[in-house]
Amino acid sequence: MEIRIENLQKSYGKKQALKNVNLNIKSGMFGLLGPNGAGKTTLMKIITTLTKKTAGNVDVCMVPVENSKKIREMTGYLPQEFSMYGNMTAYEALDYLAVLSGLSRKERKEKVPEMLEKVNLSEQRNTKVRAMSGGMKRRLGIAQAIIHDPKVIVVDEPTAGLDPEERVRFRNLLCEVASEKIVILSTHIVGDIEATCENIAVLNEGEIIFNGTVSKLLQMVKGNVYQAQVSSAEIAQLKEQFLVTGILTSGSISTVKIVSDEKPLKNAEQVQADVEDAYLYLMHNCTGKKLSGKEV
Amino acid sequence: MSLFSKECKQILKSLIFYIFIVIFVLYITTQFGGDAEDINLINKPEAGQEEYGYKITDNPEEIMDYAVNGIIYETYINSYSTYPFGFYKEIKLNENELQDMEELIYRLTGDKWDDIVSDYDNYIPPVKTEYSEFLEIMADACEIIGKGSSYEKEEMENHTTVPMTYEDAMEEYESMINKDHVTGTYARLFCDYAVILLAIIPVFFGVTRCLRDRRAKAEGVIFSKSVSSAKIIISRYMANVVMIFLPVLITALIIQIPYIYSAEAAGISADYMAFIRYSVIWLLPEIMIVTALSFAVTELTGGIWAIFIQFVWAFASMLSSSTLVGDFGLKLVVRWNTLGGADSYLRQVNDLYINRAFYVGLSVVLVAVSILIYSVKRKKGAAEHGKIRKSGN
Repeated sequence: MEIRIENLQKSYGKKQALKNVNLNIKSGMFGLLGPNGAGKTTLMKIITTLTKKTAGNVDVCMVPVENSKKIREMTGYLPQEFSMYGNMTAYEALDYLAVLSGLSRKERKEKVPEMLEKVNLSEQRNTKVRAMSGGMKRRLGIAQAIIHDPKVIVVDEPTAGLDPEERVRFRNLLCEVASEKIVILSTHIVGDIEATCENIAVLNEGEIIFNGTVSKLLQMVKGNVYQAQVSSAEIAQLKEQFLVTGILTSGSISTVKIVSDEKPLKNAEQVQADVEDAYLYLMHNCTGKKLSGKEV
Repeated sequence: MSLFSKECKQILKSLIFYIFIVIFVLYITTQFGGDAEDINLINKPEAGQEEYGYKITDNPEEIMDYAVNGIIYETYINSYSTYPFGFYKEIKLNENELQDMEELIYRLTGDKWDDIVSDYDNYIPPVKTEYSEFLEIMADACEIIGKGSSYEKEEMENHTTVPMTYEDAMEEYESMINKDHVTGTYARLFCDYAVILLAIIPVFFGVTRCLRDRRAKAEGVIFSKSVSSAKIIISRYMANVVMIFLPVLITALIIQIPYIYSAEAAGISADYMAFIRYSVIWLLPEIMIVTALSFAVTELTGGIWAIFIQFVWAFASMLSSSTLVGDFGLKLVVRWNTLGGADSYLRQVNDLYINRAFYVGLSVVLVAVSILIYSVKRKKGAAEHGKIRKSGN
């Protein structure tokens, strides 16, 4: 069970959204990371047959994407902005979408309550979609994506706009449903990938700039991440000189995290790298820009 | 079937459905109810009655008499009623035009205008022309008065009414009893009124349904499902047609009750199926074509263009009609704005069948077009905003 993407290209007029993308995605959680506009949604839409590719091959579990009916049967898709008709209850919305996924009445009677239970929406089964919070809608979204037991689940920016608690709950939910399936998680939020995915690809301006495990990504910055206390006034200058991936300010003193091939400051100490450091380092090398990480 | 029933349920929960029912019932009870109060139609005419009502005539003599009287009167008061584009407009002529008109009246009657007005109250115009010459003179009169006057050929030939004789009334009565079985004549009038509203209202249902996915941000997820585009569009289309037709049918069934009761009370066998039959033949195709057009245009444009198109089409159809009784052709809005006239209707009924069959066929084509457009949109990446567009990220 795998998704094979070979020399995939997608153009919108003169603009090339995807440039010779090659990927093999196997069972489990797969993270697709990249900044906004990198081409993630385009890639998701090609996999879910919602956009036609310009060139290349995409096979989902041995089925070419040109066979849209078969692909749609075996995939579940949670788009970036998922919603349903506001006047439907959670149960009705899920039941409606289950019909569109080809489930019989008998199957729906069994599956709809089961899925609502799974995504912790049983108590809100009669809540109207228009009254749902962002988190509830996303959980309903994942329920509709898995109700027909697809082999592949594609979720596009599922945690954007969620509060931290909802975000963690949603990540856990994704991990639960990922067993024996391919789950592609597209996001620009590094924390989502770090918490859930073993295999990732980083997409930038339509090109895959990294494809491998999280450990392999971390390996790229191993021994190159430093932490130092500096005067807050120095930060601007530091940003000019180094790749600063984190700043924690306390009064006039700030603790900065820097990714550098050499020890950047005398008082700097080596610390353990996280995925965000590695991602920013990768993007920095790719774009040549000084990127700043989280600032607290 | 599941999808169809769910679509019906969604319509049942929508505000537009109840607004439609209120408008339709109010419209029918005020318009049709007012005109169809004349249940006395089922009373057998008796010799020696003061009057027996009126009938449209195709007799050239009667048409000429009626028109010449009319044109003399309107010239006398210098006020001509016209309906250009369907709306009333009074025309007043200048002196030169009036002189031209007086000359035309002279050619029609052989009498000079001064002689006519000198004893206007007692003047009975003699018509001294052949019908073909009469039509030519009236065409000249129309040139002077302008568009939409009562003297256009089609207007005169379709709208000239004369009092019925006892024999005419008996013939009409026999037709109503034996051919229309009372309810048929009322069912035609019911359809005549209902069809006007149904030439417009379904477009709102269609546009609302087609734009709903996008407005609800549900398009992306629905596009990704395995269900075929044909099943989605056909289920939605059928649900809209059925849910618009049901209130019409129920209204028809209720509104026929007094006519059935009156007929039975008079010992006449009423046609219990007439309202249903006429509604299915006359109104259902109307709902089908308007809904189908709204689906096709809305799927294509992703906007509310269908509403404007439908308004223009419906009004153009109504205004293009020279008669409100028959002459069906391929008009979208087919009219029979009169009670009775069973014989005349039966002479034209095949034209009505052809008209309605044409629109049923056209509906099928438009639904197929809607499926095609929807299918292309699903594949070409219109998932987020409904229109066929390029999407990046």
